[in-house]
Amino acid sequence: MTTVTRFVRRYMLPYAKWYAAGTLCLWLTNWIAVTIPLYVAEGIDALAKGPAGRDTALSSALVVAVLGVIVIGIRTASRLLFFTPGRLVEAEVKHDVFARILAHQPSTLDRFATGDLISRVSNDAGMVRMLAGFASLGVVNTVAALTLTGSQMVRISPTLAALAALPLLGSFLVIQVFMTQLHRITRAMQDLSGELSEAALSSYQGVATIQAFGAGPAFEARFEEKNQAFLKVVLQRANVRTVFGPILSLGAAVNVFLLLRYGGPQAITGELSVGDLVAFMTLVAYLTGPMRGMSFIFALVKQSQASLERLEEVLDVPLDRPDLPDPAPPPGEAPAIEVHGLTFTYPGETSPTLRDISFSLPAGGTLGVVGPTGSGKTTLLRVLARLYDPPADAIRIDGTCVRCIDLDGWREAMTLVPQKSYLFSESLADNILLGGPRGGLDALVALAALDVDVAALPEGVETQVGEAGVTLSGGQRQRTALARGLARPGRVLMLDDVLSAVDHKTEQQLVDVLRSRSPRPTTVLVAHRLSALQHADLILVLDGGRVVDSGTHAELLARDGIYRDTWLHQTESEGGGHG
Amino acid sequence: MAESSPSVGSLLWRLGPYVRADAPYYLVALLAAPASTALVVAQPWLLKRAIDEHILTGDVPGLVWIAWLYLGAVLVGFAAEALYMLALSYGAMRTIVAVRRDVYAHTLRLERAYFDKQPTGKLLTRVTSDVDALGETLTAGAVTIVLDVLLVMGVLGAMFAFDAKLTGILLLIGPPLAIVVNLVRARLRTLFVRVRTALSALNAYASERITGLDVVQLYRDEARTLESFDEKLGVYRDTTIQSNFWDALLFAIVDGLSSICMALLLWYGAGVFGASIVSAGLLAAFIEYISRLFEPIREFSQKLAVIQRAAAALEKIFGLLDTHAFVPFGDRELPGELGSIEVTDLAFAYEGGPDVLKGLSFAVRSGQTVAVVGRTGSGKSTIGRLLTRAYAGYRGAIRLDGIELSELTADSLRRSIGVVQQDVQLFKGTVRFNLTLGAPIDDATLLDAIRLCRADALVERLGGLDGRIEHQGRNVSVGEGQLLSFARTLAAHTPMVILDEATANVDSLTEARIQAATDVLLERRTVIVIAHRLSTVMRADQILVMDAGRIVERGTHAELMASSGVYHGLFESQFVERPEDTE
Repeated sequence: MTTVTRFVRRYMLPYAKWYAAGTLCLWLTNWIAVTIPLYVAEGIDALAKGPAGRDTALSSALVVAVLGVIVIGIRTASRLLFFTPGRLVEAEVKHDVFARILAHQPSTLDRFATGDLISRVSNDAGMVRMLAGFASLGVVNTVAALTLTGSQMVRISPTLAALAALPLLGSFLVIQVFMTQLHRITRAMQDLSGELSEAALSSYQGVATIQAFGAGPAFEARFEEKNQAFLKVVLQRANVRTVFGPILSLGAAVNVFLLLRYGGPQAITGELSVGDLVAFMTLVAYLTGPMRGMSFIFALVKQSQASLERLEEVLDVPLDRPDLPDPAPPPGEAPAIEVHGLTFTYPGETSPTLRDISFSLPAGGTLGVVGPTGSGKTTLLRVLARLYDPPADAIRIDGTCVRCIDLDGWREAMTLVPQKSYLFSESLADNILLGGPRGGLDALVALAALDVDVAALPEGVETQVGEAGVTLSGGQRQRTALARGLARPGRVLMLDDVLSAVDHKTEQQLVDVLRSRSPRPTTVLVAHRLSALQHADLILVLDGGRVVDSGTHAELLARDGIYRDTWLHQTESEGGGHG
Repeated sequence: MAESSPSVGSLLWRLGPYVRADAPYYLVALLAAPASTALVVAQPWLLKRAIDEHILTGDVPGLVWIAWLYLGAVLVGFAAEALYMLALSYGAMRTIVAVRRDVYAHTLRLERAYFDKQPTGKLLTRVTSDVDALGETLTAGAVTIVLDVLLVMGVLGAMFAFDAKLTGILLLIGPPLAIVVNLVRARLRTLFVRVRTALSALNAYASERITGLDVVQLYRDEARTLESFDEKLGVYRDTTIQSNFWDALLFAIVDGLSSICMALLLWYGAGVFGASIVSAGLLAAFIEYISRLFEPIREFSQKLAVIQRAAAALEKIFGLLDTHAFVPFGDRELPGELGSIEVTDLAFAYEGGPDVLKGLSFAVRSGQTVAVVGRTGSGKSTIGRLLTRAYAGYRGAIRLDGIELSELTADSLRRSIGVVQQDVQLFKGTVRFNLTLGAPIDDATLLDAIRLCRADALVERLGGLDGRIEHQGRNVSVGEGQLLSFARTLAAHTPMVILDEATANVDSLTEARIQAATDVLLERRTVIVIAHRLSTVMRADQILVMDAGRIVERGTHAELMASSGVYHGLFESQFVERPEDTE
């Protein structure tokens, strides 16, 4: 229960006043509710005396009616006092989880599938509302109901009250046995739901491939396997719940039997009045509601416990931020970048993706990175951008270890345009500017060679793109990402194979623009087309995560190797073209 | 809006075929329900007899006998209720699993044009939360209402039998109760719709920003993102707090009314309504009956909300299942291995858009390689999409060995044409599954294709054919994904292959090696290469140059270079200045 207590302390305690007032109202409600049967008993007993008791019966009835009306008001208040903080807590938890996800580094978030993270924000964070609202109310209500009815029962007849406690205790014991099972089943169900939704999501996203290969039946079979596993678990849950649900009300019903069997004779001998017997029954009946609710609440607490665990996995994992608490300021101008013996392994992988990489790039210089597929080019950029933190001291920016620099400041100072870029469901302009100033948008669009495409869109730069909007082609998406990157005046600019999305002429224009920017940012270009790198101050040739060669364009052409081969191949194509 | 949508009843009615498949379960539930009701109704009756005939007369043996009868009724009633719940859950769960299977299978068969209009998140909701909401209703709402109605009827019947006048007086409370409950419910329903809208806006936003998290982080957009999130969160929070009030009030009113009923009962007993004094046993029985009556009534309002939610879900589910936007296939088979393709006056427009293909004609002989080149938006990728029937509804003719494409069976087409797509899709699972996609292809063929596509080092890193590919191919780079995609198509051994920018993110040396290796393999196949990079197309038997939906030039590389037309221009723009480029 430690997760639950932590949650209570962290989120519910600030609302202690609400809960205290709510608890007061609930006790009042329950007190009235158990008082009503006493007046009913009084009325019945008065009626049993014949016409003489008529007035007493009438005034009892009046009290019952008035109490009934009062209880409406107080009960409403009690529910509001519990449910409102429940909603407020829900909103706080959602905010905290989402903010925490935004703050976590990819190195931490890689452990979760995207769909899974989303479900933690939407489902699990919603679940805690039930804990902070409904379940809290239920627990307080049951405790109040049990205590108050119990004490009334004891007042009427201690022996009968003791007897009545037995079936209730019995049903609680049975429930405890099933609780562990229910926890296991609930967790399995949550996991399988997640898997089902992942399976559906990925196949919908890949429907083009599935249809082109006629792979529908294979995917249906895969899905059905999970679907059937899900069925198995929910049927288990049905078995447990069948016992679970009615068992507490069964306890209450058994009580009526006990009351008749043992209380009835007492009423005959006169030890107990008939009115008291009926009052006792009313009290027992009153318990049915809270008891039935209790079994629901048990299940709920188990379920929210699982959700809380899932939330803590996001909330309580420390931020992977070695720069804190004492970050160095980011560079104010285009910095020199020095990399020394950089070896990097993705979290969870066994072999390194980058091995012993060293180079040094002067301030405002341009680094070219080339290499075959899977050689680590993208990883190098990610590590430079600190999407993944490099080992300490492997990368120095103007002499300062990149890990020591304030991460937010560093991200502000540099711009990385990734190879595959996500477009949000907003206008194209919003996607490019991301909240930045609108001035110069047209120039940006032209610079990223996106102007022809924009002209063809129904509403120009205001056209909705993303999932709910116009579908852009791969090249258009890449050029939008390029415009997004160029919109930000960084002191370091990194482009990951973005230039392959534009034709050669545009590429040359872009390279020229980048070179003529003043002040010129320190630039890192990953490219397949070597022509883009001719002016680079340094070119790294990566293969298998290592630098297998480095130098300027001219130096690399002068010796054998991947670079020269690629160049010759690219040249040959052209030569063949003209030949 | 509510008026135009189908009624809850008609929606549930449509579940008929599913329910019939699991009829035994529902039948058991329906049989157990009246039994459980009868036993519940019998309990207060036994109570009345116990008080009036035995306690008040001092008959202890009779009382004990009745008490045991009561226990019997309780236990058998419990068994009946348990059986009812169990059968119902079994039936309902089997039903929703079947519905989920059908929704999924149906969605996978829908044409691409449909997917273009629907965000995947929406389609995902159909197969997840909508189906879940249905399950919730089937177990907790729709069918238990049968039990509730039976119970209310049974209890009222018994009450009438005991004392019709008293029951009538108690029922007077019904109309004002109904009016109040209805008012509150109407208020709740509007709020409920607003809560749902606010929540789905919030979830959609979170889902998008988390999916594009690297952009948010790289461009320091966290503050703005969190601000937007909080804004949506605030709307959701405030609406839910409003709905809480009405919810609480409804609950409390129903609760409080049971006390008022008891007061009425006492007044009646005291002869206020002109009746004679009633027996204590009857009063006890009525108190029991009233508490049994109010429980289903109190839950009824909650169950109605559940049913409303399920009706909304069902409407969406059937809306999807009623969408028959499948790509139409025919019933003809290709007589042998695919020989030739003949395209005549081909025109095509995406839904609601202008024509992107405006009358193309070309012919490809068996074993030939045809390249289609042109700028973005010239329509070249559309040709591939039409040939693989990702999109239907073309005008003009596409004949494979003389048979119109639209008349072929899906199977025949899949066996004849393979495609390497621009956007690579990898699925969570083994490397083997990602390459075969369930087709019976042996390992030797797979390994062969892997080797030809230079993906052997990659597959080795992943752990061989049994190695795992993570969700969305997360452990594979963009270029590596293209290698696997290429291998997937080669392994399928179709006589015709369409390469749509197949190696756009692969470095030129690897690309050249793949080309060299696959040249042999593709030699006897018919190949259509779609590319904006000209290096990949120079050796084609025929090059089609597209511009604005038309073929503006055609010929071999040499022929096209000789005339200084569009191709020459394209070539210059790609290879100008200096030797390079083969990507």
